[in-house]
Amino acid sequence: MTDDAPARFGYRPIMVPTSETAVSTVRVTTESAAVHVTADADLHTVVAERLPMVVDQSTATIDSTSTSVDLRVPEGMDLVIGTSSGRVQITGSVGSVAVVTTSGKVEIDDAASLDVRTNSGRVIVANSRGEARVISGSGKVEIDHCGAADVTTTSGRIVLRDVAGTARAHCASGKVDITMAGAHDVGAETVSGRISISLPEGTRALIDTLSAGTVAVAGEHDCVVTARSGSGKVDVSTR
Amino acid sequence: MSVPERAARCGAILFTDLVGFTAYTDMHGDLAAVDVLDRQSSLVAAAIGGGGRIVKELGDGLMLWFDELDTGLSSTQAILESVAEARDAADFPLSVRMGMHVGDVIERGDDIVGHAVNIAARVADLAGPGELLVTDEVLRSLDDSGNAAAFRPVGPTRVKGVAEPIWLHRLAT
Repeated sequence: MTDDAPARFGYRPIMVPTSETAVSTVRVTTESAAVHVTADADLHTVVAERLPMVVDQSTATIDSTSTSVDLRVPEGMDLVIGTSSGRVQITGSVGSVAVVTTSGKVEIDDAASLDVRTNSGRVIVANSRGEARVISGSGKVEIDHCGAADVTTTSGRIVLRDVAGTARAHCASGKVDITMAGAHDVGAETVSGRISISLPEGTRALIDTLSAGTVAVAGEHDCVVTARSGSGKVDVSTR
Repeated sequence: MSVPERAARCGAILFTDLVGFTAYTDMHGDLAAVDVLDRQSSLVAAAIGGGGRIVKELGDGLMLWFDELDTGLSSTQAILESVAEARDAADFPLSVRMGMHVGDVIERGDDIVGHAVNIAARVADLAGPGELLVTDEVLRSLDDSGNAAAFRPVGPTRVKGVAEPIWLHRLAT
């Protein structure tokens, strides 16, 4: 559907031209709904079908009681989403993303940065160009690429790949797997759960683990890797 | 039966929660867990001084009350620093997360009850280790003090029984 597409299902979608209103942030709050946001490079409006939208200066706010929220936004739009339950899916390239949900899977394609909090939902992120901060109760957190990472779960596994900044992972009972893209500091902690950290070849890391103690490197070090597991194995390696 | 009159008091409610306490108890046993709870209470009590009070223990967390929001926030920062120092010194094994809200409560003996208490508890559930989350109401109460600049927006959450979403902010560290 284009910006001036005809109405579907007998009604016309609400469209807010972002160039006229300078909308840079879309806020969505729902009680229990699946939220799907699609960023489109060719789009210059926020398109919200069958949804009440209020625009105040640079922010468009949608407070919906619908069971499904489907939005189309221009690329680079900042998103703030709050829902009690329901899947949150963000497709395409967006700006900063903030999601707070009680339960429901959260999937994010490409964000400038993100802050996701969920009590019991899996979180899957393909790319965060900046910091990725995720706090989850019982869901697995999986990030394919990010800048700095700060991830906490109570009982969900943490998998961070291609981390291009400082990495922090905290898990009460679950495995932590971190693959670093560069020589950045790493802090990983589990109460019970294995920790595996992979560093790029040639990284001179000062490694601090309970089992091995502090492993000094000759000369200068590039980064500090601290790993603490109450009962799990800790493995720090280069590739 | 006559119902005694109870006056509402406005102040700041803080909930603390130990991250990973259940797993810690499972691994180290009940006696070690009790030691951690005792240590948490002593760290928190020392950090808040006479600025507030620990209302009660709730599982592995504490509920605290502050008459003044500014005192509550400075005490909260003192708790965060105190726990971080204890962890660095291997004197405390777990992280603490916290949530704060301001509002009216009713005193019931030494306890406090009210909807504001439920909201503060929900806010703490969404915080990360070593993090303080606060509600919009906290930030609005800080507008004149300049302390609001220390917080970053997180997003809205829904709390059962509250029609409007509650907006959260985190203390930037």
